[in-house]
Amino acid sequence: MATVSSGRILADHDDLIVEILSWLPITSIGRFRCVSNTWKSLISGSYFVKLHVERSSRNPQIVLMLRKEHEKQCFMALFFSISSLIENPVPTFRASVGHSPISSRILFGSCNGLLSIHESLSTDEYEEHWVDFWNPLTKTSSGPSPSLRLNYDTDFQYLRNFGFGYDDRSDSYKVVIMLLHTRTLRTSVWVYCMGDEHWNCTLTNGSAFHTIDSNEKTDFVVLVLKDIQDETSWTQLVRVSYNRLQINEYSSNLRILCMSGDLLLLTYSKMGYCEFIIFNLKDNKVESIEGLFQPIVFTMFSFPYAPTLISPI
Amino acid sequence: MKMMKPYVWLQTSDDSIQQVEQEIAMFCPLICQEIIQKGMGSSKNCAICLPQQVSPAMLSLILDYCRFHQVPGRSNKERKSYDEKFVRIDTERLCELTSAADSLQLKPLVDLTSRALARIIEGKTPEEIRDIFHLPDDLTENVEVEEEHVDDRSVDDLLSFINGNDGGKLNILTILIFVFT
Repeated sequence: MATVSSGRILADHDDLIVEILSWLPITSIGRFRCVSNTWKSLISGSYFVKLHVERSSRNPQIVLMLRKEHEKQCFMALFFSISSLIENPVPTFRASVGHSPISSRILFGSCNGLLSIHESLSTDEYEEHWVDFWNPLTKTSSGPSPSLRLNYDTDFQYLRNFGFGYDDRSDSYKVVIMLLHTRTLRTSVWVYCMGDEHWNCTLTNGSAFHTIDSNEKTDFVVLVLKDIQDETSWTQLVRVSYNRLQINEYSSNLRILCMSGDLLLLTYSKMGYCEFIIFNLKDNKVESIEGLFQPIVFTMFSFPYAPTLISPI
Repeated sequence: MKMMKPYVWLQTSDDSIQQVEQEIAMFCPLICQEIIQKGMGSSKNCAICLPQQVSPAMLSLILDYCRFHQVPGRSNKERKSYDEKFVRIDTERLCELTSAADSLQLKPLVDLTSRALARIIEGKTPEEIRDIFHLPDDLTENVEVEEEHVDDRSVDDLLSFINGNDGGKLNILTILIFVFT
C-alpha cells in the first residue's frame, strides 16, 4: 500500500510541494494545474512563479524577430534553443512562432519570459508611444499602457532608444525610453513601470548620447560588459575585418544573433537574401557561411528568452 | 569561549537518544542553532529534541549525506555522482526525507530530494499524482491543459504568407504573424 499514497506526508506541506514543482520544466507545468485546487493556486502564486524563474533559466532560448526591410511592415517571432540555432542556422528555421493578440508592434525587449512591444502613432503635431507586455507561454497580454505624447515644435523629431528590464529593488518590470530631440540635442529619459498609470520623466539634460565616428569602417568589433556594475569592465570580445567575413561593410547590416561557447552566430541581410555566419572566437575565424535566399529582404534581430509563468498584467 | 565537544546527543521522533559527531550534525542549521544558542546536546540529559519528521532511519540517511559532503577536497563530479545515487530510493522514503531535511533546515538536501521528486512526477498523469500525494480530486472548473504549440511550417511558407502569395487563405491569428498596420 505504501506506493499508493507514498507522498501523503507532504500533502499538507504546501511549501515543499512548491519546492518540488519549481523544478519541473515549464512546458509540463500546465498539466499539474489539473491535479487539485490547492496545486492550481500554488502554481499561480507569485512566490512559485518567481522561484520557477530562478530555476528555469538554465536552458535559455532566443526569440528571433523578422522584419521586412524598407516597408517595416511585418514581424514574426520565432523561438529557438541557442544550441540548435548554432548547429543548424538555416534548416532549423522551422520553429514555433509566437502569437500575440495585439495587431501592430515592434519588439524591443525580453526579460524573464515577458516580451515588450512598442507601438506608436504619429501626426503632424505630435507622436504617441505606448507599450504592451506579452507572455507567449501563457498567451497573456497586458493591453496597451498609457501613452507618452511628444509634441513637435517645428519639424524636428525625436530619436529614441528603448530598454526593458526587471528592477529587483522595487520588484517591478520597467521600460526606459531615451529620447534625443534632433534640434536641441537635449536628451530626456522616461520610465514606465508595468501596471502604472503614467510615464515618469527621470532625467533631462544636455547631450548624453555619444556618437562614434565611423568614417573608416573596416572592422567589426564586439564589446562586452563583463560586470554589469562596473563601467570599466568593457572588454573586446572580437575584432574581425569585414573583408575576412566576406561582406561589404557598406551594404551589410551585420547583427549578432547568439553566442554559444566559442561560437558566435551573426547574420546580415542583403538585397534578396540573408546570410548566417558562424564565427569561432577562439581561432578568430569564420567557421561557415550559409545563405537563406528569399524573395523579400528582411532584417533579423534576436533577444534572449526563457519561458516563464510571469504575468504581464 | 565555548569548548567544542566532539559529540552531540540527539533525540529522534521515537524518543530514542543517540550520540553523533558534532562536526557532522552541525551541518544541519537547526541542530547548529540548538548547540550554539541554547547550549543543548552536550549530554544525554539535555539531548536536542529533533522535530517529529525526523525518524531514526531518516536521521541516519541525513547524517550519511552530511558526512560525505563535510569532507573537504571532493570534486564536484564526486559530489554530483554521490547525490545521484543518494536519491535512488523509493518515492515514500524520498518524501519522508524531503520533509525531514526541511524540518532541519538543510536546504541543499531539500533541493536535491525535491528535484528528484520532480523527476518522478514529471511524466505522471494528474490522477497518478493525486494517488501519490493523497490529494482530493476537487477541481471545480475545467482547467485548460496547456499544450505546446508548434508551427511546423517552414520559413518559406511563412514568408510567402507575409508577401501575400497565399491569397489570404490562412487565418492571421492561427499562423501567428504580426502585421504592422
